[in-house]
Amino acid sequence: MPRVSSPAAIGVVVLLLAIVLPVATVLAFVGADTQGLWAHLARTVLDRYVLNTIALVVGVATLSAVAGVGTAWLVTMYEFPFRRVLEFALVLPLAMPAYILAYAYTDLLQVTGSVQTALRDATGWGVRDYWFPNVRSLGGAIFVLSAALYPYVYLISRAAFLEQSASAVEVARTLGLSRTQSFIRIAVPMARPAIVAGTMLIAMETLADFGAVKYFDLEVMTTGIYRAWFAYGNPAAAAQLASLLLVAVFAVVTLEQASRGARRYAAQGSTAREVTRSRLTPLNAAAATALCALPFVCGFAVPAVVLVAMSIDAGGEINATRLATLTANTAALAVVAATIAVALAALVSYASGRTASLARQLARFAYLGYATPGVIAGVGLLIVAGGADALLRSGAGVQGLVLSGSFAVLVYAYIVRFFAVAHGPIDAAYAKLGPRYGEAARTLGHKPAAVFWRIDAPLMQGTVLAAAALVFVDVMKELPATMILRPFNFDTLATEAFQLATTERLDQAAVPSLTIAAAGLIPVVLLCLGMRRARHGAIEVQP
Amino acid sequence: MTALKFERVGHSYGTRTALRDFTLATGDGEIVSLLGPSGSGKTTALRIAAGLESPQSGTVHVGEKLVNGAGVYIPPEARDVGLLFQDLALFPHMTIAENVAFGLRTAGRERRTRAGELLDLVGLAGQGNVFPHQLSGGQQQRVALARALAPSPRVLLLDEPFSSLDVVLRQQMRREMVSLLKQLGTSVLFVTHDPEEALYMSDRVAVMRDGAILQVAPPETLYLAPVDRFVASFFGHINIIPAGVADGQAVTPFGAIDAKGLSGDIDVLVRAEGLIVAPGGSHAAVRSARILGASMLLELDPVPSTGLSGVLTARAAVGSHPAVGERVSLALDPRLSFAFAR
Repeated sequence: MPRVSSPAAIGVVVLLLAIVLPVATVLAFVGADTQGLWAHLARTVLDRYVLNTIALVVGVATLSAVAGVGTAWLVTMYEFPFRRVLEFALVLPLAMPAYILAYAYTDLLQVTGSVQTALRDATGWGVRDYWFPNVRSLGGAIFVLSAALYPYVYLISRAAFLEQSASAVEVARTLGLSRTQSFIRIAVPMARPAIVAGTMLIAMETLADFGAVKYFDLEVMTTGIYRAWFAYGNPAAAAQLASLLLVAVFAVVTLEQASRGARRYAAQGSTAREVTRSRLTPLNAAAATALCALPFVCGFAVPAVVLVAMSIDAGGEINATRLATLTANTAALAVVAATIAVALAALVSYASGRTASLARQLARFAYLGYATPGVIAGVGLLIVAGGADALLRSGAGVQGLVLSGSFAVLVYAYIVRFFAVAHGPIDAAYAKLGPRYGEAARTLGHKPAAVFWRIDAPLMQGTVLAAAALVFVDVMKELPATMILRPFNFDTLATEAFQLATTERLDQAAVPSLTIAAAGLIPVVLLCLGMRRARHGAIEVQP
Repeated sequence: MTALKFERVGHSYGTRTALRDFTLATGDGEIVSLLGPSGSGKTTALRIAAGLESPQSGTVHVGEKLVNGAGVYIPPEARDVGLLFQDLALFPHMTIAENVAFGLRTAGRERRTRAGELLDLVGLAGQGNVFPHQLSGGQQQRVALARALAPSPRVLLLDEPFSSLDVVLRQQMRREMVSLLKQLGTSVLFVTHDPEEALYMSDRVAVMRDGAILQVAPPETLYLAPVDRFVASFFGHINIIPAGVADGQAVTPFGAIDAKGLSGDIDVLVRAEGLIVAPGGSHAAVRSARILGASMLLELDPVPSTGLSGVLTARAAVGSHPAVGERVSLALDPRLSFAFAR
């Protein structure tokens, strides 16, 4: 049977070009004239942008790697109270985007917040009588981003520890190493590629973050790009800053890919047998429980409680009609984007076949879209849409802005960002399904279309739904591209919460934020179910 | 009548040749196996017969119908072949009755009846409503067979169908399958890398290497008259004894066998069971004697005067075998010894 038809390969190439178009546009501006703004920026703020960005990335990567690997180590190697609950609870912070944590911690820790008020009530100090750390600072941003992002390292290193053959650690112990020694000398080095990959993913997300740093008024690359465009109205300077950021992002992605490659190699020949967890003395067990609870408390429990309290405070001022409109807007965008992303992913996966083909290799490039920060995708598409509108005006005589500020461009941006989110699981499931079922169905007298609907589709159903849920939630959370590209007077939950928070109506930002976090729980719960299944080895339906 | 006929079929994956000048015809109701090491092209031949690969040259007929060659390509669904995969590929989202009925063209009551009959045939009567994962490995195997047989294909293709089963179950399934297929008179092409399985299951065996057939013959002929060294060594332990030719005879230290058409330095290949061991003598010393169930496997060190180096293997009946260290004499069973050019 022919495997790859050329129309399929052409389709994949077109899709790929569409996905790299915004990035290519930004890069095309590298040499453009900025009317002296670039020189001005270079003289004045560029140093600060770069240094702050580096400090932020290094800080977040370090803090979340320590938290993620440490907790993964404890839950896989030791038995302690609440271990099973914490094993899953540690994933929950993934539900909350960093900017929502930023709102919650600002409310909690600002001068008028409950912590400082309680402190003053207890001590009788006045507002100026003491020093209190300012959460809206570089340190605060490192804390907030780490609390939101550490689960990436936690998940990936936990999986690495679990998938390591228990025999490797057991052999080390028969060779005279203690449990702790064998863990440090055998398990961690074996998991190192996974840990590096997780940390690089966090570095990538930190470089791309816009909401939290913008809310904290930090001068980093993403906020600099936004300011160059919207405050100075200088697309060329914005694009040049964006190119600089892209170089950093792609460097990180390359590192991540390299360590993943190594990880595949390292995982070979491992068995599924789990390490038997050892019991701890009561004191150590309590310490382990506390240590594992800490990231969960910081990344989920505290902000959730604060947001609920804020919502109650804001109770009277919440406009139910407005909230319904926002939710409907957000859901409509997310449903449309998720449907298109999943359909495209399924088509690319099906068209490129199950074997290594050119189309499949090309599809990997689409992952660059996922690595592209939302600000850059937004700015890039703004340039593309503006250029297309200008062409329409001069060519077809169409007046006004057809593409700029349209839903189509916004959905396009989401597809650029999140195609990979849908393609990853669908392609993996399709490859895992293998060609056998289809071949068996063909020899039993069914045509390819019938095979697709009666065999492939029902078997892939679960994965497709899960992939759609992932894209849905990512679209809901997405802030910068939405802010930049949304149609005039059109708001989503994320943009509304951001505007309320930045215009000193923080309490009112709580309800839309909670709605986003609640939706964010969907994929996290799916993930936890997956973790459970993987542990019981019951993912396979067939022997 | 032929059930399946390959004529001069050639196929390659990129630069690697998978099949060269492959010609084979199987008869109605005949079970033919393709036997060879992995990479010998046997699975490619099977996939070509099923229509899952298209050969670059040659023709393939299923029954009288041309399915490959001369610009013709009939897709798998229109070929009238059944295929049983190594990993079975039972559809996990369907009950076993639905699996079995999947290839049936009929509908309604007739369809259910036919599926029930087939499950009956493979000993799974009344279990149609369970899902594949609820069955044991042997039961899944039977369902896969029933599914492949359901549309009454002109020829049934089996791709190492027993490799996922344990030894005991494998032997039981072989027995059941041969008797069922013979009872139904099904024409079968069967791929395996297990010589014992091929000998047990088949009316004829085609031994393959590097994409070509070396010999096609009934099991007994293959065992007693292999055409070359590779075929000879494929079935069990074999001893290679260098020999010279004199008067059309291959002369070894343990006797001479017929060596028609050969000259110069040759090798005599002797099956372990063709090396006859007698107590007392001056050919070899017993190095070890291990019991293999039905017979003993002896390892023998030839004495220096034979001019042979290396260990010889032979078989002996349990209980009457020589002790370790004992000197023995050796003789060749001419039916199990074959002379080939070196």
